[in-house]
Amino acid sequence: MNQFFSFNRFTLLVVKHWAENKRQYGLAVLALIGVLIVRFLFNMLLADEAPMSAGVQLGTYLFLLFVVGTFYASQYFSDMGSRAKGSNFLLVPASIFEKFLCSLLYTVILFIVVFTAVFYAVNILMLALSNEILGTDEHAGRATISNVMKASFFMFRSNLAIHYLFCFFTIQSAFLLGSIGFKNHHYLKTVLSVFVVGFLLFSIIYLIYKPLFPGDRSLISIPVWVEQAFRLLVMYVIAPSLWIMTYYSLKQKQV
Amino acid sequence: MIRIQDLSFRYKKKPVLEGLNLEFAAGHVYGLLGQNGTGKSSLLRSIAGLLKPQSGSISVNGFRPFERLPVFLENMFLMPEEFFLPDIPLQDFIKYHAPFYPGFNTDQFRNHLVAFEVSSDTTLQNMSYGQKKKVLISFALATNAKVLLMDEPTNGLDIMSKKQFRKLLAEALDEERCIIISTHQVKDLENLIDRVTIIDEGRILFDQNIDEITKRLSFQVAYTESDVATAFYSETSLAGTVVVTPNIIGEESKLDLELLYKAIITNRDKITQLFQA
Repeated sequence: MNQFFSFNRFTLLVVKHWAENKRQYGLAVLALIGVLIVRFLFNMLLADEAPMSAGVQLGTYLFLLFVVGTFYASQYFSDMGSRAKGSNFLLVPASIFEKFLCSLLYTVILFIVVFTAVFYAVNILMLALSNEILGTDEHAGRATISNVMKASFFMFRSNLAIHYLFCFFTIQSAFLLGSIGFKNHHYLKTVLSVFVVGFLLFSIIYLIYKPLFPGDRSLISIPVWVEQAFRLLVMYVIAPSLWIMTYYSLKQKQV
Repeated sequence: MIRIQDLSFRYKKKPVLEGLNLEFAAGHVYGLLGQNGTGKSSLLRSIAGLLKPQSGSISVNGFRPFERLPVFLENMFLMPEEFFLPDIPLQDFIKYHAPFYPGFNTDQFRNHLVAFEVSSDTTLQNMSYGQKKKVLISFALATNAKVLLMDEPTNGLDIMSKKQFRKLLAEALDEERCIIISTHQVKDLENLIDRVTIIDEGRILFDQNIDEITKRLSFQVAYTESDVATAFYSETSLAGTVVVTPNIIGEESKLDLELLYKAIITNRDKITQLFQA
Protein backbone atom coordinates (compact mmCIF):
# COMPACT_ATOMS: atom_id res chain seq x y z
CA MET A 1 0.00 0.00 0.00
CA ASN A 2 1.19 3.53 -0.76
CA GLN A 3 3.05 4.92 2.24
CA PHE A 4 2.36 8.58 1.39
CA PHE A 5 -1.36 8.49 0.76
CA SER A 6 -4.00 5.79 0.85
CA PHE A 7 -7.64 6.71 0.48
CA ASN A 8 -8.63 3.81 2.74
CA ARG A 9 -6.36 4.95 5.58
CA PHE A 10 -7.42 8.56 5.09
CA THR A 11 -11.09 7.57 5.38
CA LEU A 12 -10.34 5.60 8.55
CA LEU A 13 -8.59 8.64 9.98
CA VAL A 14 -11.46 11.00 9.13
CA VAL A 15 -14.03 8.63 10.66
CA LYS A 16 -11.87 8.10 13.76
CA HIS A 17 -11.48 11.85 14.26
CA TRP A 18 -15.22 12.30 13.99
CA ALA A 19 -15.95 9.46 16.43
CA GLU A 20 -13.58 10.92 19.00
CA ASN A 21 -14.69 14.54 18.65
CA LYS A 22 -18.36 14.46 17.70
CA ARG A 23 -19.51 15.39 21.21
CA GLN A 24 -17.25 18.44 21.38
CA TYR A 25 -18.25 19.43 17.86
CA GLY A 26 -21.94 19.07 18.75
CA LEU A 27 -21.46 21.31 21.78
CA ALA A 28 -19.49 23.82 19.70
CA VAL A 29 -22.31 24.03 17.15
CA LEU A 30 -24.84 24.58 19.95
CA ALA A 31 -22.61 27.30 21.42
CA LEU A 32 -22.36 28.97 18.01
CA ILE A 33 -26.13 28.88 17.61
CA GLY A 34 -26.46 30.46 21.06
CA VAL A 35 -23.97 33.22 20.29
CA LEU A 36 -25.70 34.04 16.99
CA ILE A 37 -29.16 34.17 18.59
CA VAL A 38 -27.92 36.41 21.42
CA ARG A 39 -26.08 38.67 18.98
CA PHE A 40 -29.15 39.14 16.71
CA LEU A 41 -31.56 39.48 19.63
CA PHE A 42 -29.42 42.20 21.19
CA ASN A 43 -29.37 44.02 17.90
CA MET A 44 -33.14 43.80 17.61
CA LEU A 45 -33.51 45.19 21.11
CA LEU A 46 -30.87 47.91 20.87
CA ALA A 47 -30.64 49.01 17.23
CA ASP A 48 -32.75 51.98 16.25
CA GLU A 49 -33.32 50.78 12.76
CA ALA A 50 -32.63 47.82 10.48
CA PRO A 51 -31.33 45.38 13.14
CA MET A 52 -30.97 42.65 10.54
CA SER A 53 -29.54 44.73 7.73
CA ALA A 54 -27.13 43.26 5.20
CA GLY A 55 -24.27 44.97 7.02
CA VAL A 56 -25.21 43.40 10.34
CA GLN A 57 -25.51 39.94 8.79
CA LEU A 58 -22.24 40.23 6.93
CA GLY A 59 -20.38 41.76 9.89
CA THR A 60 -21.60 39.02 12.21
CA TYR A 61 -20.68 36.31 9.71
CA LEU A 62 -17.18 37.64 9.07
CA PHE A 63 -16.37 38.43 12.71
CA LEU A 64 -17.41 34.99 13.94
CA LEU A 65 -15.85 33.24 10.94
CA PHE A 66 -12.46 34.73 11.77
CA VAL A 67 -12.73 34.34 15.55
CA VAL A 68 -14.19 30.83 15.64
CA GLY A 69 -12.22 29.59 12.63
CA THR A 70 -8.87 30.71 13.99
CA PHE A 71 -9.65 29.40 17.47
CA TYR A 72 -10.65 25.99 16.07
CA ALA A 73 -7.49 25.81 13.95
CA SER A 74 -5.38 26.77 16.97
CA GLN A 75 -6.76 23.77 18.86
CA TYR A 76 -6.44 21.11 16.16
CA PHE A 77 -2.86 20.02 16.85
CA SER A 78 -2.77 21.32 20.42
CA ASP A 79 -2.64 17.70 21.65
CA MET A 80 0.98 17.70 20.51
CA GLY A 81 1.75 19.75 23.61
CA SER A 82 0.90 16.71 25.73
CA ARG A 83 3.20 13.71 25.64
CA ALA A 84 0.35 11.23 26.14
CA LYS A 85 -1.99 12.73 23.55
CA GLY A 86 0.83 13.52 21.15
CA SER A 87 2.09 9.93 21.23
CA ASN A 88 -1.43 8.67 20.67
CA PHE A 89 -1.80 10.89 17.61
CA LEU A 90 1.60 10.33 16.04
CA LEU A 91 1.56 6.55 16.46
CA VAL A 92 -1.73 5.97 14.65
CA PRO A 93 -0.71 3.93 11.59
CA ALA A 94 -1.43 6.57 8.96
CA SER A 95 1.00 8.74 7.05
CA ILE A 96 1.89 12.27 8.16
CA PHE A 97 0.34 13.55 4.94
CA GLU A 98 -2.95 11.78 5.69
CA LYS A 99 -2.99 13.26 9.20
CA PHE A 100 -2.23 16.70 7.82
CA LEU A 101 -4.87 16.38 5.10
CA CYS A 102 -7.40 15.32 7.73
CA SER A 103 -6.63 18.54 9.63
CA LEU A 104 -7.31 20.62 6.49
CA LEU A 105 -10.52 18.72 5.79
CA TYR A 106 -11.87 19.51 9.25
CA THR A 107 -10.49 22.99 9.94
CA VAL A 108 -10.89 24.43 6.46
CA ILE A 109 -13.47 22.63 4.34
CA LEU A 110 -15.90 21.14 6.86
CA PHE A 111 -15.56 24.16 9.14
CA ILE A 112 -16.61 26.61 6.39
CA VAL A 113 -19.50 24.39 5.31
CA VAL A 114 -20.84 23.76 8.82
CA PHE A 115 -20.24 27.33 10.00
CA THR A 116 -22.04 28.82 6.99
CA ALA A 117 -24.92 26.33 7.27
CA VAL A 118 -25.38 27.10 10.99
CA PHE A 119 -25.12 30.83 10.34
CA TYR A 120 -27.82 30.73 7.66
CA ALA A 121 -30.10 28.47 9.69
CA VAL A 122 -30.04 30.95 12.60
CA ASN A 123 -30.03 33.96 10.30
CA ILE A 124 -33.18 32.85 8.47
CA LEU A 125 -35.00 32.23 11.76
CA MET A 126 -33.90 35.50 13.34
CA LEU A 127 -34.73 37.38 10.17
CA ALA A 128 -38.23 35.94 10.18
CA LEU A 129 -38.57 36.92 13.84
CA SER A 130 -37.23 40.41 13.17
CA ASN A 131 -39.58 40.96 10.25
CA GLU A 132 -42.49 39.64 12.29
CA ILE A 133 -41.79 42.03 15.16
CA LEU A 134 -40.35 45.06 13.40
CA GLY A 135 -41.61 44.57 9.87
CA THR A 136 -44.37 47.12 10.25
CA ASP A 137 -42.02 49.69 11.74
CA GLU A 138 -41.56 52.37 9.11
CA HIS A 139 -37.92 52.98 10.11
CA ALA A 140 -36.84 49.40 10.32
CA GLY A 141 -38.42 48.07 7.18
CA ARG A 142 -38.32 44.41 6.13
CA ALA A 143 -34.88 42.87 5.98
CA THR A 144 -33.91 40.18 3.53
CA ILE A 145 -31.39 37.39 3.62
CA SER A 146 -27.98 38.77 2.76
CA ASN A 147 -25.52 36.87 0.64
CA VAL A 148 -22.49 36.70 2.91
CA MET A 149 -20.51 35.24 0.08
CA LYS A 150 -20.46 38.71 -1.51
CA ALA A 151 -18.28 40.94 0.56
CA SER A 152 -15.84 43.73 0.02
CA PHE A 153 -13.53 45.02 2.67
CA PHE A 154 -10.03 46.35 3.07
CA MET A 155 -8.25 45.77 -0.24
CA PHE A 156 -10.41 42.78 -1.15
CA ARG A 157 -12.91 44.80 -3.13
CA SER A 158 -14.83 42.19 -4.95
CA ASN A 159 -18.17 40.57 -5.06
CA LEU A 160 -16.57 37.17 -4.96
CA ALA A 161 -16.53 35.30 -1.68
CA ILE A 162 -13.43 33.50 -2.79
CA HIS A 163 -11.44 36.67 -2.08
CA TYR A 164 -12.21 37.00 1.59
CA LEU A 165 -12.28 33.24 2.05
CA PHE A 166 -8.71 33.15 0.80
CA CYS A 167 -7.84 35.94 3.22
CA PHE A 168 -9.47 33.87 5.97
CA PHE A 169 -7.48 30.77 4.96
CA THR A 170 -4.29 32.82 5.22
CA ILE A 171 -5.00 33.97 8.76
CA GLN A 172 -6.32 30.55 9.76
CA SER A 173 -3.28 28.72 8.38
CA ALA A 174 -1.10 30.72 10.78
CA PHE A 175 -3.23 29.41 13.67
CA LEU A 176 -3.00 25.83 12.41
CA LEU A 177 0.78 26.17 12.37
CA GLY A 178 0.64 27.77 15.84
CA SER A 179 -1.31 24.78 17.16
CA ILE A 180 1.66 22.54 16.43
CA GLY A 181 4.45 25.08 16.88
CA PHE A 182 3.57 26.15 20.41
CA LYS A 183 3.48 23.79 23.35
CA ASN A 184 0.66 25.61 25.15
CA HIS A 185 -1.53 28.77 24.99
CA HIS A 186 -1.67 28.18 21.24
CA TYR A 187 -4.31 30.80 20.43
CA LEU A 188 -2.81 33.68 22.41
CA LYS A 189 0.73 32.95 21.29
CA THR A 190 -0.35 32.80 17.64
CA VAL A 191 -2.27 36.08 17.96
CA LEU A 192 0.86 37.68 19.40
CA SER A 193 3.05 36.16 16.69
CA VAL A 194 0.74 37.39 13.92
CA PHE A 195 0.86 40.90 15.41
CA VAL A 196 4.64 40.80 15.78
CA VAL A 197 5.12 39.59 12.19
CA GLY A 198 2.62 42.20 10.97
CA PHE A 199 4.40 44.95 12.88
CA LEU A 200 7.81 43.87 11.57
CA LEU A 201 6.46 43.77 8.01
CA PHE A 202 5.01 47.26 8.41
CA SER A 203 8.28 48.55 9.91
CA ILE A 204 10.37 47.08 7.11
CA ILE A 205 8.13 48.63 4.44
CA TYR A 206 8.23 51.96 6.30
CA LEU A 207 12.03 51.90 6.66
CA ILE A 208 12.47 51.12 2.98
CA TYR A 209 9.81 53.57 1.76
CA LYS A 210 10.68 56.71 3.76
CA PRO A 211 14.23 57.28 2.43
CA LEU A 212 12.99 56.67 -1.12
CA PHE A 213 10.14 59.21 -0.91
CA PRO A 214 11.16 61.78 1.72
CA GLY A 215 8.59 64.37 0.64
CA ASP A 216 5.60 62.07 0.94
CA ARG A 217 3.61 63.15 4.01
CA SER A 218 1.58 60.00 4.32
CA LEU A 219 2.92 57.34 6.66
CA ILE A 220 3.12 54.79 3.88
CA SER A 221 1.71 55.14 0.39
CA ILE A 222 1.84 51.80 -1.35
CA PRO A 223 2.11 51.83 -5.16
CA VAL A 224 -0.68 50.01 -6.99
CA TRP A 225 1.55 47.21 -8.22
CA VAL A 226 2.81 46.57 -4.66
CA GLU A 227 -0.77 46.52 -3.40
CA GLN A 228 -1.73 44.01 -6.08
CA ALA A 229 1.31 41.86 -5.34
CA PHE A 230 0.50 42.02 -1.62
CA ARG A 231 -3.07 40.97 -2.28
CA LEU A 232 -1.94 38.03 -4.39
CA LEU A 233 0.53 37.10 -1.68
CA VAL A 234 -2.11 37.16 1.05
CA MET A 235 -4.61 35.25 -1.06
CA TYR A 236 -2.55 32.60 -2.79
CA VAL A 237 0.95 32.29 -1.36
CA ILE A 238 0.94 32.63 2.42
CA ALA A 239 -1.70 29.99 3.24
CA PRO A 240 -0.14 27.19 1.12
CA SER A 241 3.29 28.13 2.48
CA LEU A 242 2.09 27.92 6.07
CA TRP A 243 0.32 24.63 5.33
CA ILE A 244 3.57 23.22 3.98
CA MET A 245 5.33 24.44 7.13
CA THR A 246 2.63 22.78 9.24
CA TYR A 247 3.13 19.51 7.35
CA TYR A 248 6.88 19.58 7.96
CA SER A 249 6.42 20.59 11.60
CA LEU A 250 4.18 17.56 12.03
CA LYS A 251 6.73 15.38 10.25
CA GLN A 252 9.52 16.57 12.55
CA LYS A 253 7.42 16.62 15.73
CA GLN A 254 8.94 14.82 18.70
CA VAL A 255 7.03 14.00 21.87
CA MET B 1 14.80 -7.09 14.28
CA ILE B 2 15.86 -3.96 16.19
CA ARG B 3 19.37 -2.62 15.81
CA ILE B 4 20.55 0.41 17.72
CA GLN B 5 23.96 1.82 16.86
CA ASP B 6 25.74 4.54 18.79
CA LEU B 7 22.46 6.19 19.70
CA SER B 8 22.62 9.51 21.54
CA PHE B 9 19.87 11.85 22.57
CA ARG B 10 19.77 14.98 24.73
CA TYR B 11 16.96 17.10 26.13
CA LYS B 12 18.22 20.65 25.74
CA LYS B 13 21.70 20.25 27.25
CA LYS B 14 21.04 17.23 29.43
CA PRO B 15 22.28 13.96 27.93
CA VAL B 16 19.62 11.24 28.14
CA LEU B 17 21.07 8.49 25.95
CA GLU B 18 24.78 8.30 25.20
CA GLY B 19 26.33 6.05 22.56
CA LEU B 20 23.93 3.16 23.05
CA ASN B 21 24.53 -0.06 21.10
CA LEU B 22 21.85 -2.73 21.43
CA GLU B 23 20.19 -5.47 19.44
CA PHE B 24 16.80 -6.99 20.07
CA ALA B 25 15.76 -10.15 18.25
CA ALA B 26 12.36 -11.65 17.52
CA GLY B 27 11.08 -14.41 19.79
CA HIS B 28 12.31 -12.81 23.02
CA VAL B 29 11.01 -10.73 25.89
CA TYR B 30 13.53 -8.10 26.96
CA GLY B 31 13.53 -6.38 30.31
CA LEU B 32 14.79 -2.83 30.33
CA LEU B 33 15.60 -1.99 33.91
CA GLY B 34 16.82 1.15 35.56
CA GLN B 35 15.96 3.88 37.99
CA ASN B 36 13.54 6.69 37.13
CA GLY B 37 14.95 9.19 34.66
CA THR B 38 17.78 6.99 33.41
CA GLY B 39 16.65 7.00 29.78
CA LYS B 40 14.47 3.86 29.53
CA SER B 41 11.39 5.70 28.29
CA SER B 42 13.46 7.82 25.90
CA LEU B 43 14.93 4.65 24.43
CA LEU B 44 11.47 3.14 23.90
CA ARG B 45 10.16 6.39 22.40
CA SER B 46 13.16 6.50 20.07
CA ILE B 47 12.47 2.93 18.92
CA ALA B 48 8.80 3.86 18.39
CA GLY B 49 9.71 6.88 16.26
CA LEU B 50 8.57 9.57 18.67
CA LEU B 51 12.09 10.90 19.18
CA LYS B 52 14.67 11.59 16.49
CA PRO B 53 18.16 10.29 17.22
CA GLN B 54 20.58 13.19 17.48
CA SER B 55 23.39 10.86 16.51
CA GLY B 56 23.62 7.18 15.71
CA SER B 57 20.87 5.13 14.13
CA ILE B 58 17.92 2.87 14.87
CA SER B 59 16.61 0.24 12.51
CA VAL B 60 13.38 -1.64 13.24
CA ASN B 61 12.59 -4.38 10.74
CA GLY B 62 14.62 -2.41 8.22
CA PHE B 63 12.68 0.82 8.83
CA ARG B 64 13.93 4.06 10.33
CA PRO B 65 11.32 4.65 13.06
CA PHE B 66 11.28 8.45 12.91
CA GLU B 67 9.99 8.33 9.32
CA ARG B 68 6.81 7.00 10.95
CA LEU B 69 5.66 5.16 7.82
CA PRO B 70 2.25 3.48 8.16
CA VAL B 71 3.76 0.07 7.33
CA PHE B 72 6.13 0.51 10.30
CA LEU B 73 3.48 1.85 12.68
CA GLU B 74 0.97 -0.91 11.98
CA ASN B 75 3.53 -3.50 13.05
CA MET B 76 4.76 -1.70 16.15
CA PHE B 77 2.84 -0.82 19.28
CA LEU B 78 4.09 1.39 22.07
CA MET B 79 2.27 1.35 25.38
CA PRO B 80 3.59 4.52 27.01
CA GLU B 81 3.63 5.07 30.76
CA GLU B 82 1.60 8.25 30.28
CA PHE B 83 -1.11 7.23 27.86
CA PHE B 84 -4.28 8.74 26.49
CA LEU B 85 -7.53 7.04 25.61
CA PRO B 86 -10.35 9.06 24.02
CA ASP B 87 -13.63 9.66 25.80
CA ILE B 88 -15.69 7.17 23.78
CA PRO B 89 -17.40 3.82 24.49
CA LEU B 90 -15.01 0.88 24.50
CA GLN B 91 -16.88 -0.68 21.56
CA ASP B 92 -16.29 2.46 19.51
CA PHE B 93 -12.64 2.51 20.49
CA ILE B 94 -12.21 -0.91 18.93
CA LYS B 95 -14.41 -0.06 15.96
CA TYR B 96 -12.37 3.01 15.01
CA HIS B 97 -8.85 2.05 16.12
CA ALA B 98 -8.55 -1.64 15.28
CA PRO B 99 -8.84 -1.23 11.45
CA PHE B 100 -5.49 0.55 11.41
CA TYR B 101 -3.79 -2.69 12.49
CA PRO B 102 -4.02 -5.45 9.86
CA GLY B 103 -3.18 -8.15 12.41
CA PHE B 104 -5.78 -7.06 14.96
CA ASN B 105 -7.82 -9.93 16.40
CA THR B 106 -11.08 -8.85 18.01
CA ASP B 107 -11.71 -12.23 19.68
CA GLN B 108 -8.28 -12.09 21.21
CA PHE B 109 -9.00 -8.58 22.52
CA ARG B 110 -12.30 -9.71 24.08
CA ASN B 111 -10.61 -12.71 25.69
CA HIS B 112 -7.96 -10.46 27.21
CA LEU B 113 -10.65 -8.17 28.60
CA VAL B 114 -12.41 -11.17 30.13
CA ALA B 115 -9.12 -12.31 31.68
CA PHE B 116 -8.66 -8.84 33.17
CA GLU B 117 -12.33 -8.76 34.27
CA VAL B 118 -13.03 -5.55 32.36
CA SER B 119 -16.56 -5.02 31.07
CA SER B 120 -16.69 -4.18 27.38
CA ASP B 121 -19.97 -2.24 27.75
CA THR B 122 -18.54 0.89 29.24
CA THR B 123 -17.07 4.25 28.31
CA LEU B 124 -13.34 4.67 28.58
CA GLN B 125 -13.73 7.92 30.49
CA ASN B 126 -15.62 6.14 33.28
CA MET B 127 -12.76 3.72 33.86
CA SER B 128 -10.10 3.94 36.53
CA TYR B 129 -6.44 4.29 35.54
CA GLY B 130 -5.87 0.58 36.17
CA GLN B 131 -8.86 -0.43 34.03
CA LYS B 132 -7.71 1.83 31.19
CA LYS B 133 -4.30 0.23 31.41
CA LYS B 134 -5.86 -3.21 31.13
CA VAL B 135 -7.74 -2.08 28.01
CA LEU B 136 -4.53 -0.75 26.51
CA ILE B 137 -2.60 -3.94 27.33
CA SER B 138 -5.41 -6.00 25.78
CA PHE B 139 -5.41 -3.80 22.70
CA ALA B 140 -1.62 -3.87 22.39
CA LEU B 141 -1.53 -7.67 22.51
CA ALA B 142 -4.47 -8.01 20.11
CA THR B 143 -2.77 -5.87 17.44
CA ASN B 144 -0.32 -8.76 16.98
CA ALA B 145 2.30 -6.16 16.17
CA LYS B 146 5.72 -7.66 15.63
CA VAL B 147 7.33 -5.14 17.96
CA LEU B 148 5.68 -4.51 21.29
CA LEU B 149 7.13 -1.81 23.51
CA MET B 150 5.75 -1.45 27.02
CA ASP B 151 6.77 1.32 29.38
CA GLU B 152 6.01 0.48 33.03
CA PRO B 153 3.08 -1.77 32.05
CA THR B 154 2.40 -2.99 35.58
CA ASN B 155 2.12 0.48 37.14
CA GLY B 156 -1.41 0.87 38.44
CA LEU B 157 -2.28 -2.83 38.17
CA ASP B 158 -3.44 -4.75 41.23
CA ILE B 159 -1.70 -7.98 42.29
CA MET B 160 -4.10 -10.31 40.46
CA SER B 161 -3.94 -8.21 37.30
CA LYS B 162 -0.14 -8.28 37.38
CA LYS B 163 -0.31 -12.06 37.49
CA GLN B 164 -2.78 -12.04 34.59
CA PHE B 165 -0.53 -9.66 32.66
CA ARG B 166 2.44 -12.00 32.99
CA LYS B 167 0.28 -14.92 31.82
CA LEU B 168 -1.08 -13.08 28.78
CA LEU B 169 2.33 -11.80 27.80
CA ALA B 170 3.86 -15.27 28.01
CA GLU B 171 1.07 -16.54 25.75
CA ALA B 172 1.53 -13.67 23.32
CA LEU B 173 5.18 -14.34 22.63
CA ASP B 174 5.94 -16.14 19.40
CA GLU B 175 8.98 -16.54 17.18
CA GLU B 176 8.17 -13.44 15.11
CA ARG B 177 7.50 -11.11 17.98
CA CYS B 178 9.87 -8.97 19.98
CA ILE B 179 8.65 -7.59 23.29
CA ILE B 180 10.58 -4.96 25.23
CA ILE B 181 9.38 -4.05 28.68
CA SER B 182 10.76 -1.11 30.59
CA THR B 183 10.20 -1.04 34.31
CA HIS B 184 11.64 -0.14 37.66
CA GLN B 185 9.35 -2.71 39.30
CA VAL B 186 11.72 -5.55 38.51
CA LYS B 187 9.79 -8.18 40.48
CA ASP B 188 6.93 -7.92 38.01
CA LEU B 189 9.06 -9.27 35.18
CA GLU B 190 10.34 -12.36 36.92
CA ASN B 191 9.92 -15.57 34.93
CA LEU B 192 8.91 -13.49 31.93
CA ILE B 193 12.00 -11.97 30.37
CA ASP B 194 14.87 -13.79 28.74
CA ARG B 195 17.33 -10.92 28.56
CA VAL B 196 18.08 -8.16 31.05
CA THR B 197 19.32 -4.74 29.98
CA ILE B 198 20.06 -2.24 32.70
CA ILE B 199 20.40 1.41 31.75
CA ASP B 200 21.92 4.03 33.99
CA GLU B 201 22.39 7.67 33.06
CA GLY B 202 21.84 6.91 29.40
CA ARG B 203 24.44 4.14 29.19
CA ILE B 204 24.19 0.37 29.18
CA LEU B 205 25.22 -0.87 32.59
CA PHE B 206 24.48 -4.54 32.00
CA ASP B 207 23.09 -6.56 29.11
CA GLN B 208 22.91 -10.35 29.45
CA ASN B 209 20.66 -13.33 28.74
CA ILE B 210 18.91 -14.94 31.71
CA ASP B 211 20.64 -18.27 30.96
CA GLU B 212 24.03 -16.61 31.10
CA ILE B 213 23.16 -14.80 34.32
CA THR B 214 22.08 -17.96 36.17
CA LYS B 215 25.13 -19.76 34.82
CA ARG B 216 27.50 -17.16 36.25
CA LEU B 217 25.68 -15.86 39.30
CA SER B 218 24.07 -17.57 42.22
CA PHE B 219 21.10 -16.19 44.18
CA GLN B 220 20.72 -17.92 47.53
CA VAL B 221 20.46 -17.65 51.28
CA ALA B 222 23.92 -17.39 52.84
CA TYR B 223 24.90 -20.39 54.90
CA THR B 224 28.29 -19.20 56.11
CA GLU B 225 29.94 -15.89 56.81
CA SER B 226 32.28 -16.42 53.89
CA ASP B 227 29.22 -16.51 51.59
CA VAL B 228 28.42 -12.99 52.74
CA ALA B 229 32.04 -11.90 52.52
CA THR B 230 32.44 -13.04 48.92
CA ALA B 231 29.01 -11.83 47.80
CA PHE B 232 28.56 -9.10 45.19
CA TYR B 233 25.51 -8.08 47.16
CA SER B 234 23.85 -9.20 50.38
CA GLU B 235 20.59 -8.31 52.00
CA THR B 236 19.23 -9.37 55.35
CA SER B 237 15.60 -10.38 55.63
CA LEU B 238 13.47 -12.47 57.98
CA ALA B 239 14.42 -15.59 56.03
CA GLY B 240 18.11 -14.88 56.58
CA THR B 241 20.78 -13.13 54.54
CA VAL B 242 20.28 -13.49 50.81
CA VAL B 243 23.35 -13.07 48.65
CA VAL B 244 24.39 -12.74 45.04
CA THR B 245 27.64 -14.63 44.57
CA PRO B 246 29.66 -15.97 41.67
CA ASN B 247 28.25 -19.37 40.65
CA ILE B 248 31.31 -21.46 41.41
CA ILE B 249 29.71 -24.88 41.69
CA GLY B 250 27.83 -24.53 38.41
CA GLU B 251 24.44 -25.27 39.91
CA GLU B 252 21.78 -22.91 38.56
CA SER B 253 19.68 -21.04 41.12
CA LYS B 254 16.43 -19.17 40.64
CA LEU B 255 17.09 -15.67 39.32
CA ASP B 256 16.01 -12.89 41.64
CA LEU B 257 15.78 -9.84 39.39
CA GLU B 258 15.62 -7.39 42.25
CA LEU B 259 18.77 -8.76 43.84
CA LEU B 260 20.51 -8.82 40.47
CA TYR B 261 19.56 -5.21 39.87
CA LYS B 262 20.81 -4.10 43.29
CA ALA B 263 24.02 -6.12 42.86
CA ILE B 264 24.75 -4.46 39.53
CA ILE B 265 23.99 -0.98 40.81
CA THR B 266 26.26 -1.45 43.86
CA ASN B 267 29.00 -3.65 42.40
CA ARG B 268 28.99 -3.07 38.69
CA ASP B 269 32.70 -3.44 37.92
CA LYS B 270 33.16 -6.82 39.61
CA ILE B 271 30.07 -8.27 37.95
CA THR B 272 31.13 -6.93 34.55
CA GLN B 273 34.54 -8.56 35.02
CA LEU B 274 32.87 -11.86 35.88
CA PHE B 275 30.83 -11.80 32.65
CA GLN B 276 33.82 -10.78 30.56
CA ALA B 277 35.93 -13.64 31.89
